[in-house]
Amino acid sequence: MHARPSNLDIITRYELVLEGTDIGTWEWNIKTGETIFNERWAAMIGYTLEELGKTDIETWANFVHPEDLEPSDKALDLHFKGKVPYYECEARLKHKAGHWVWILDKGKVVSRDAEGNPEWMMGSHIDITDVKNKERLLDRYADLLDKSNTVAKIGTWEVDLETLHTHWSSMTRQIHEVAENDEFVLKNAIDFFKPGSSRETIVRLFNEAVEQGKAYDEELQIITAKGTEKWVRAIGIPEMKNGECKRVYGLFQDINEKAELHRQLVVREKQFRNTFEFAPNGIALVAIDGSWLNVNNSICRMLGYSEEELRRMTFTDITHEDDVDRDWSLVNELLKGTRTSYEMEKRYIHKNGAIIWAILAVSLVRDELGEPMHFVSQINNISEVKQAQIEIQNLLDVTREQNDRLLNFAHIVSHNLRSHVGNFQMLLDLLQIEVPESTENDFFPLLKHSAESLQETILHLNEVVALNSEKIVTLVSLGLRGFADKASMNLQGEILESDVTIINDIPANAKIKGVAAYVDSVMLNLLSNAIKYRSPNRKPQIHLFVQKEGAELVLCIKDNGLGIDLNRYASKLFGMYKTFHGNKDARGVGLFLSKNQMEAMKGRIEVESVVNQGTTFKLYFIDAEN
Amino acid sequence: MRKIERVFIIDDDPIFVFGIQRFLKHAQLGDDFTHFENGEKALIACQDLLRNDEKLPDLIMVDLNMPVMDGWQFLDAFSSLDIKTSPLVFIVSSSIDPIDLRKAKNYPLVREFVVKPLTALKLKELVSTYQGA
Repeated sequence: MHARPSNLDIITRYELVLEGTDIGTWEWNIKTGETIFNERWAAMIGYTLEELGKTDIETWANFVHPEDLEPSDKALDLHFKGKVPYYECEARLKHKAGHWVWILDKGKVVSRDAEGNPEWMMGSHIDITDVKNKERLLDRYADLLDKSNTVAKIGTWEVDLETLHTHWSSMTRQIHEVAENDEFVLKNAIDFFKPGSSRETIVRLFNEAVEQGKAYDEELQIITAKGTEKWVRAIGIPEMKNGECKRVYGLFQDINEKAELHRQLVVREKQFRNTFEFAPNGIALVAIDGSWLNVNNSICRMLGYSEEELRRMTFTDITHEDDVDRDWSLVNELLKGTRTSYEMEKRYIHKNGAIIWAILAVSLVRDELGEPMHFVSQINNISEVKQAQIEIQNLLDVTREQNDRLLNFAHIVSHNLRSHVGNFQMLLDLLQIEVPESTENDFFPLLKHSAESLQETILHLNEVVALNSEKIVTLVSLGLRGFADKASMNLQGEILESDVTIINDIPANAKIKGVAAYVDSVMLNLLSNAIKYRSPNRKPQIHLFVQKEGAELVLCIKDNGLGIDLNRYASKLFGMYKTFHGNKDARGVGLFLSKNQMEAMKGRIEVESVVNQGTTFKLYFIDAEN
Repeated sequence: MRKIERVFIIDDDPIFVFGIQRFLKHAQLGDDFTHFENGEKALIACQDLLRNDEKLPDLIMVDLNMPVMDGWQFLDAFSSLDIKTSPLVFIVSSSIDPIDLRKAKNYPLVREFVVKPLTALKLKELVSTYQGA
């Protein structure tokens, strides 16, 4: 047994013990302000006792953070008044190196004066800087978590399975659009899920969590208290104890915007894909080296290759060899940037070897740095159009060739015939002079007439040739009435002989667009026809008048002659060398020529006729007054 | 009064040549009549006459379409000859092509473009027009 040491001894011994610890000690005479600090007290703020020199209570006040003075004073006051058994306070002291050191300051009044006022007080300083820093960090983390939850729209929830009490964080409430103070039980929470697959899923998942301890993480739809439908991510974690679930907690995240965006994206992607796949024209993505990246159905159908086959090929492989260089030079212009797109007519070779004519339109897609990425090509099959074009061109060539040959033929025939008929006439003329008695022979007038008719026919034939050789005619404004008068004058002999009455009702101001020589010819031809094919049973009459039809002026030449059986002859009426009257003078080429002349003047000719009543020829001219 | 004595016919059609010869005879113009089958032969004859300082024809009737040297080529060559006199030159052709008619106007030498057939009456008229004036 040791003898009980005196108080001082005890103190000395404690001092020794304390020296081995990290605890700084202080003693303070409240009445005098005198203080005693141990070496550790000073070391805690980077000093030695020697450096501090003579210390008093002001020494502490000098080192302490101004904000911590007041809490310290309050704590002291409480202790002095005996309300708390110890003085305790956290305070910051300024370290010699400039930073703040957190101190847990504890103390107790150890002696009082006769009046009971505190005299000596003893206490300790413990460095709690580390703890304090961690605490601050924790606060910051909590704050950060709260903020990020708000930003990410994540709310927490938990259900106590014994009380069925449900706790929702304020974000969880916000997501469900329910007020801060509404109380919840589990059933209410489940009811927020949209009836149908979302509701069924959450019930199943929650039951599995409770019964099997399985956590869940699922995207589901809820209907909020305000009736808004939204997508949420629901996470649930069961807390098991002895194989029994006591509590389920988890998170709610509002993913409506994300889900909506995703849904729109899916819809748009699908739309684009459908557009691409089912577009009637061929669309392809082509790599810079000319290989096919993506092709749509139309291209596969057009070229006879499957998508897989095409992907192993370049466009060069299936381009007609004569079009390869032209295509690549345009591609190079795109790559050089001298053009942004090009369009060309080119030939592809179908898998079966057939030539496919197409219009190709290509543009280059560049990345954000301007580097070429790939081409977008549109290919339209124009083979049918092209085929038709080629056929039309062939027909046109054949027609032109035949036309030229026909003209040439007509030239030769008319020219050669002319010289022969000329000789024929010359010889007859000579015969008449040298052998006058030959004219008395019955054959002579017949021969002479035949020669004259032949010459006339050839003349007409020449006019037809001339008309068809003339590619462009210039139409001028012409007064129509004068032409009728002129033709009547030229036919005076026939008119007198046949006793025809010609009624010219063409107004003096009737003007048409035409070629004077053609109008002359048409008028003369139709008037002489009308006279020639008069009826022997009545006094012949020819009535000329005009009718206005839109932009056209129609000249009607109406006779009361024999008429033409249009049922039989309508299709032959204006053909070359067609005659339909038994009349000996019938000149088939006349109407053919008139029709051609009318058409050359951008007009046309029509006929109305009743057998034994008369014929009306209608000449459609462009009305110059229009 | 111009006298038509020497006549050149340049035409490859024997029937026409036969006819015209008879017409000229009836018109009492055919005394000095020469026929050439093409322009070249007529041109050589004209050049020979010039070289020998002999009399050139008073009337030349030339057809257009002929082998070897056609009427136009003859007219071109004949125009370039150094001729002191001014013979009557008629084109006598069965062509009624307006292009030929227009072209003929470019030859001051050519007095008439006569479209065949040439009749006795027409010849008489022509001769009297030019001889009588």
